[in-house]
Amino acid sequence: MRGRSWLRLLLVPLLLALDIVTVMWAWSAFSAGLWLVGSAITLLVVGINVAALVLRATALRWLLPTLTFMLVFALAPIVYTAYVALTNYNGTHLLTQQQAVTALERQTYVPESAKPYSWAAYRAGDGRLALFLVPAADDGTDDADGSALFALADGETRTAVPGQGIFGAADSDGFPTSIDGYTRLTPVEKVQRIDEITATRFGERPTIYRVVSASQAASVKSLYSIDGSTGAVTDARTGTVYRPTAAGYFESDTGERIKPAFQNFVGFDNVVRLFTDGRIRGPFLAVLLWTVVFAVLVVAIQFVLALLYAVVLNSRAVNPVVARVVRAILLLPYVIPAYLMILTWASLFNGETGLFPTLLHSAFGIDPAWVGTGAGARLIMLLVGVWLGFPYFLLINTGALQAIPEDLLEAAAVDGASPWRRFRTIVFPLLMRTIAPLVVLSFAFNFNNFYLAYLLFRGGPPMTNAQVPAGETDLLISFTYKISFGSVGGGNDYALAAVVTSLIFVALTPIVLSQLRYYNAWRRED
Amino acid sequence: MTEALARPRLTAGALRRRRRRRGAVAASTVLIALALASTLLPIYFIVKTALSPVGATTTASLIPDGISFAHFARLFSDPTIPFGLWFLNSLKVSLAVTVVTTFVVAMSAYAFSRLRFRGREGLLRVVVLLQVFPNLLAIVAIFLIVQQLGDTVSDVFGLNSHVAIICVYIGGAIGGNVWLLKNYMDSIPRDIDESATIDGASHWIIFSRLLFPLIRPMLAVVAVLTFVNAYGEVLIIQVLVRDPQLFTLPLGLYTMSISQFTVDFGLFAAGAILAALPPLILFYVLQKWLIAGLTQGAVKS
Repeated sequence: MRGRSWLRLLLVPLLLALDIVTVMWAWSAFSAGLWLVGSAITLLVVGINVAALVLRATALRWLLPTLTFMLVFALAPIVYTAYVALTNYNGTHLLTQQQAVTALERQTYVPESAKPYSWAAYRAGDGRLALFLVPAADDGTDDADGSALFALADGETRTAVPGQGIFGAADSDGFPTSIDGYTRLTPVEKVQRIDEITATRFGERPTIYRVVSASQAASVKSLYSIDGSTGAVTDARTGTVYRPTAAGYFESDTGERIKPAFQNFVGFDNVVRLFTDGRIRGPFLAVLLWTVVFAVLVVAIQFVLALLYAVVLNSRAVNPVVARVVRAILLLPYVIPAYLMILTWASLFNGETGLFPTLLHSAFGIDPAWVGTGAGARLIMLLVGVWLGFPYFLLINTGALQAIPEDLLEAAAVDGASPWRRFRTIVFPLLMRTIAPLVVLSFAFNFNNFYLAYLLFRGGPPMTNAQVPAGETDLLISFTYKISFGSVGGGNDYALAAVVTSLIFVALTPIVLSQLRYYNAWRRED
Repeated sequence: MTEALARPRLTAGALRRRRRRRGAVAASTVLIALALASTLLPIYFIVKTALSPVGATTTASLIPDGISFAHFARLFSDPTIPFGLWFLNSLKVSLAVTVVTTFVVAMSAYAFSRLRFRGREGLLRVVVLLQVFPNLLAIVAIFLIVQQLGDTVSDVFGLNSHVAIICVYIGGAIGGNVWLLKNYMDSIPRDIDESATIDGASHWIIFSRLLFPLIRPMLAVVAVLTFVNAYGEVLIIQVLVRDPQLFTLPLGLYTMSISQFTVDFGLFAAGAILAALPPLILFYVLQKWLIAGLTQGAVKS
């Protein structure tokens, strides 16, 4: 221990630095209303400090990296999913209320009394924008306060006289020909960056300058003032008061709304919506049914097929060397990344140019349109699912089969048991004892076989009369994905997706519990 | 077989057995041929398509249109398809995930196997349970969390960042592997480290000098599985990364396949073959270890 004391000395300032940084992070998360990220960070800081400072916390030191990753990227997402399910989080209600208020505070308007300026944009070495403002003389009056200004993006404003200090001599329009440390935007650059320029606030509060047209800029005022205690927002031009509503909008007494809206806690509204809105409930139940049917069928077919092949390849009818080579080849679908093979299958079954529909058409005159039907697509999905999962089952079935003691079977044979009877009464029960938990896990895997559902047909063909983007071959997991990120129909409905995801968690609980029993059984052994 | 046939006298039972046996050989030959054909057909198809001359690709035929390496050449010459960059990105991300995961998993497996502390059982249970839920399931929440981390903490942990995607992959890879390695460590007698403890060795010495060499085979399994998973992941990164410069091979090939599906599938096929090589080589070189590890970790009976 003494030999490492210099390490401990080094530790203290390091820890202090880390604490300061993380506390700042946590603070910025909390102040934006992102309590989950904030508390995760806080928990981490506490954990790191305890691990570093409490001598007895040996186990924590060894577990901290695992805990960190699992907390932020495995546990927090599950907790957050459950939370989002109870909010109105979607493409419209993206921001927290605090973030929405911050966004509103940044909005400005041009008061009628505003003095017009003509402008020229410059950029600093780091790309930051700056504006040179020359009072516009179009109102004809000779303004007393007519000095030119130089305003930095979200920075200071100073009066500027061309030809003095960093400013070069003025050109015919009154703009300096050069400014030290800044380059004037060329007309092309000006056009290219016009969106950025108009969105930028130059100068500091309370006097903000913004570009209002290609030639004019003006000093602007904050459009909204926010009442800190009630959260009400007042429009400075009209005096209209917008109050935050439970639905997550800022709404005036006449029902007028301003953007952006914010997320709010809505309780079980989404659950109710999922189960009562027929155009959501119908597709949801159809997807749920297919998910269960698919998972059961795929696992059952895989298991039976793989067991058959494991027995055949293990039998005396097959030369052991041949068996080994065949097993190695049959393992291929397990070894090649699944996405590649799914995309390949998608091409093989492409309705217009795919190999199989074309062959079936030319050989038997079957119209390739079957690929695009719900039943056809589901059949293909099952086939590909079995193809992908078969090698894994072959692997574990073979392993379990070879683990069954040979003398046990020989003894049964001597007693006159037929091969089928030996299989039924000895091999199969022994096999199931080791394989059963893996069958259960495989069911869970196929229940969530996102890759297959999404990459094969993107869940398609689409269901008709659905208000949500659901397809005939969608599994629940790809369904939630499309609700969240899909571009067609009801995209970005994060809250509804979270409800469905939460339901998947609930549906998988029996499987989780069976895993737990399995785990307990193991624990008694050690 | 011929020798046996030459033998003159056979009992009826032996004859029946032989006939049955010959039937079994025939049936298993047919079965094996069927399995090999259906396994190899799509693989043959993709190889055939990759090797077809540019423009001559007819996806609807099994007969080769000729042999050409033009698709492979285009992968490395067409500036709109930065295949090399995708490949490097993939290696970078997968290797980072593999190294960190393996190390982190080894540490916590040591804690769960060798240390006794309060909450050990419960924590282990949580770790095991979390692995039942793939992190893809909570993809919406992961997306939102990463976005928020980017907004509040640092862009490094936000959207369009390799660091963020690496962290997400690690978070998804740890659970199952901790379990696998912890069980393996449990099978190593504790007497070894107990005698070392008496000699005054610290946990770190026991872990790094004594146990590490012993767990290396299982560590290799963990590393390969982690690598292969990260190397083939496309749907999480599709949500978290939009910048084509940051694409990994799966994301690149996926976008290629959806945008060029009917146009030039040969290009995708060529890319797919190259992309499949690293895990293919890893698996077949380490096959013995991996299968032992897989069956041992999963079916400990």
